[in-house]
Amino acid sequence: MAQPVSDAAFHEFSAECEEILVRVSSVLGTLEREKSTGAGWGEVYRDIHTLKGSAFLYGYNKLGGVAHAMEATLEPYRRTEAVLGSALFDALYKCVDLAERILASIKASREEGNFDEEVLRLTMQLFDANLTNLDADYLLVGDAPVVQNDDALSPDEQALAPPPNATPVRVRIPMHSVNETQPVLEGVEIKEVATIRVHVSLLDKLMTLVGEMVLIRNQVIQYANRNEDMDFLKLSQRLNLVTSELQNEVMNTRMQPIGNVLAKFKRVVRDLSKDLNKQIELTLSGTETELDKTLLEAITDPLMHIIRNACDHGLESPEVRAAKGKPETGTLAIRAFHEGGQVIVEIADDGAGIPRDKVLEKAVSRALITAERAQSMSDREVHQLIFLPGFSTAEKITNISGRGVGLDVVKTNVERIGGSVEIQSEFGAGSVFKIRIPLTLAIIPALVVKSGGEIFAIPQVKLVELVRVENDTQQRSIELVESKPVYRLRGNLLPLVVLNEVLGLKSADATEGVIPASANIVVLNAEEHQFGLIVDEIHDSADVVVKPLPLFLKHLALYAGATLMGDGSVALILDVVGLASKAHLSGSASQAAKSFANEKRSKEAKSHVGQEYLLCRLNAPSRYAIPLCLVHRLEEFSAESIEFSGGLRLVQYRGSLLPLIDLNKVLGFDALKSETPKDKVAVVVVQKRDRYFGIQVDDILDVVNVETEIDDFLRDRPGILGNIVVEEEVAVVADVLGILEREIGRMGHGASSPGESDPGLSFDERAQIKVLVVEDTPFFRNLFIKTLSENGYKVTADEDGQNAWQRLQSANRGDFDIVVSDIEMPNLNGFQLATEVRKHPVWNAIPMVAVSSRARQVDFDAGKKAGFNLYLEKFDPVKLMSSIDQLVKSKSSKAA
Amino acid sequence: MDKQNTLASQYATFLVAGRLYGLDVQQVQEVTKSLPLSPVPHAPSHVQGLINLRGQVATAIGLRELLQVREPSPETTMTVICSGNGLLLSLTVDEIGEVIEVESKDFERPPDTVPESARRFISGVFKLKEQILTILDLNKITQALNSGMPL
Repeated sequence: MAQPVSDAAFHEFSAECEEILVRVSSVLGTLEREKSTGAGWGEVYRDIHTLKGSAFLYGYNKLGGVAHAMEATLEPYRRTEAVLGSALFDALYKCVDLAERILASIKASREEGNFDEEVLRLTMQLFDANLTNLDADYLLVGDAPVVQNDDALSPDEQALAPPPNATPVRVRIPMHSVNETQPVLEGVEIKEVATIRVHVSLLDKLMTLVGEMVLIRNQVIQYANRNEDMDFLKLSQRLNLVTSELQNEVMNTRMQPIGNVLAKFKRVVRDLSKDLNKQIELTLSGTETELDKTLLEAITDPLMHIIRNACDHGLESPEVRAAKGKPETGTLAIRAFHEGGQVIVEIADDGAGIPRDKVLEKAVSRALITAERAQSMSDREVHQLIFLPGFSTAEKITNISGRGVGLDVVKTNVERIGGSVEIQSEFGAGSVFKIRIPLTLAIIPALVVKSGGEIFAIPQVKLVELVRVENDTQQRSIELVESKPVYRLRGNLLPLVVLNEVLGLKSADATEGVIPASANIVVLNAEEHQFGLIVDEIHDSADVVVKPLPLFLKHLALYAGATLMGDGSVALILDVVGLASKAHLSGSASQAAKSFANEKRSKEAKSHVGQEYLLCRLNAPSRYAIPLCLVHRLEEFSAESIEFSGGLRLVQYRGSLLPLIDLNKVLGFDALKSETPKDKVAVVVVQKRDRYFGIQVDDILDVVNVETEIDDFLRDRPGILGNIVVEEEVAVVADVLGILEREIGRMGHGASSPGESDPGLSFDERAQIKVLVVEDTPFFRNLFIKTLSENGYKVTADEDGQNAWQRLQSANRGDFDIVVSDIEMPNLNGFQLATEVRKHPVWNAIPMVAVSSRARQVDFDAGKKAGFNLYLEKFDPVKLMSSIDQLVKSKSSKAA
Repeated sequence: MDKQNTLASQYATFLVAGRLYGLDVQQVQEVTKSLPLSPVPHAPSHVQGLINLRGQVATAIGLRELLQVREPSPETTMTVICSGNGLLLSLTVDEIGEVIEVESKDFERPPDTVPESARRFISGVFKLKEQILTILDLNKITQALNSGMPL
């Protein structure tokens, strides 16, 4: 039992012990690496001796006992050349670890805590390891060069300068003969030290100071920009660079490899497999992936839980596995990697997977879902059920994972640090848990908004999308359910939360039960729920430095922290999940929101590469698709807001008039006849020639990603590009650009209606023309290839300027007659390509046509300047072909 | 009352509604004019908001609210910056006084009539010549804040 001592004396004691343990642990590392022997151990030995003495003096017998055991173990090694084996090192490290934990307990409560059993066990282990280590007549001098006992060299020189070209050999040396050599380590050590230990609080302090510096930097730059002084401006820009670099490096000091945590699990899994009588092999990969220290600590428990869960419930016993034809040894693979600014940890087992029936049965019996709902749930939704509070599928409560704590705690803990967890499972084949964690908590990307006169930051990870709703009339863009506002987002009801209301901020127009005239909706993801947060203004997105809030403000569960804005003011960072529960969004009340989120997520999971399409409904049996790359925005207008100008239907949109084109009418369908006349018009806004056009459809259904190409075999009428297969159903792809071209022609803007230019060449003549198409969007690339080759041209296509330029450089004169290029492309854009081509001895005169959706006067001029002969707007096939014909013809006539 | 045997001899003083309060001068980090506040909606009423103290976020605590002084606050206020128990606090006061040297013979426990709501933050009073100096106990204030005390 500790004796009462003065504060000062106690602090000195604990600080000294701490220092000693830090030193011992780092010197142990060096000694192990260098396979040091003899006098090298002197320092550690003395330190541990001191530790033992002080601990006993202050009455901390457990700490003293550990130190004593270490001291006794090391005693023989400091006098001989005996080498310590790895088992002994392991035991020593464990002793240091235990001593650190005892010390932590002493510091916290001045009591040693309940470590009796551990001290005893570890002491035994240490002695065992030591006996085994000493239990040989011979000592193994590891892979170190043999140092001859040469009288010409002093012992110091021997240690410092191994014989040149010494080859590592393993030799056996009788123990007594090496006693005389006394290599001295001190001199060697200095150049070997690559790491030093610093206190975390120092790193935190550095981080704070850097945050402060970033703010000052911002102010300096603002000031410099207003100033005429060029030298000062230059200096401030240097300051800017150095500060950013400093910020990065300081952040790096907080990063630790995730392996530090994962390595622990090896023993956990080994112990578990024994307890459970299962054979489990744990593989780790990506252990070097780095993560902020605080986050690393925060995910240790959730990871442990998932691993225990996988061992207990996931992986089957060897007999069951054998019966199923699986290898008897189950595997548990943990993989850590970076992806999109996040660290992802995957825990995959090849066990039983999640039994749908059992999960549903349990969920229904615990009244988590209704029986009807159970029937209609997808497998994915069923898997998500295991994260619900109060859910556990274990048939018997085991002490491994059935401790009354469910996976919901894992989910909560991971989400608390801004991460997410999901599961994919295949019954009979295994499950994969995927944890996403932000790289660091210190700096996060956030959306900055203003509400009730205050600035708030919303973590970007929670953000789904932004929606602006304009209600210029009394129309119901935002509707009320029991006086709670909702918004129809693509056909699903999105519950709305007014930030001013939740936070009790003053606001001009928002009171409960009254629909605001216009609203900025920030669509957010809070656990299973999706909801829209109405804020007054949406500002920028920015990387914000997270400053912790005092605990009593954190307990409000509304704010995740605070941050400093560029002008020096303090902004609160909203806790999205807390906000949702404050607004009573959680619980079964928002089942709609829940399935909405699930549905959305399953769609996102599917999106790989391919072309994205917007699916719409028309008054026709099949669905219609519009390539998403053409879509500028999706809008809803009230039927009343549509005005007429002659035969044209127009709506006021962003300060100008938006012509509406009814896709039903264009494609020859009747206008939709429903029982209730629709008061809302769904409009897809597309941009062409620097103007907006609205394509009116009956309903906007979804955005899908399709990997297959458009099948254009069945093109029954103009305005159609072909068919795609979406979720095993056919959708018809509308030729929006073609339709627009025709409609614009009808509207009287026609600059390029078909037949206007000269008829061009015949199919056979065109077959002589070799076109190089450069276009990065797969949709347009395929469209170019298809259109041009159907009309005879020989087409070669490249996906960016870089590839095209390489192709041209290695091609011969005559391989290509004309280049048709997009402007905006990765690697080498259209302007750059043209500039290069015009400098090339072979290709400097080849006709080049730019085809771009960027078609303002400045773009035309830039295109001409870069060397394009012609700049066309995307995408008028007739015009393109007649232009190709003309350019090639005039080129060849000139050449002739 | 362990603090009593280590009573400080110097106190930074300040006025709230005409009353003189003091904090151990060692505990006071600095004294400034009031800084721009960002309010924290739904926080207890004594939390006036957050301020940026040269890159650190400090919590502004209204002493008036904390001590439940009913008189209205003046137009301009001052702040006393202090830290303890992991909190960086900016105490909002009416006016800053001098640093006063006191003698321990003048110390007395707060009178029994002082209501518990204020008493819990007061370690005692010094009987000065002109007036009474009430000593605030920063440790108790921070502890009470951290426990999320109800007011």
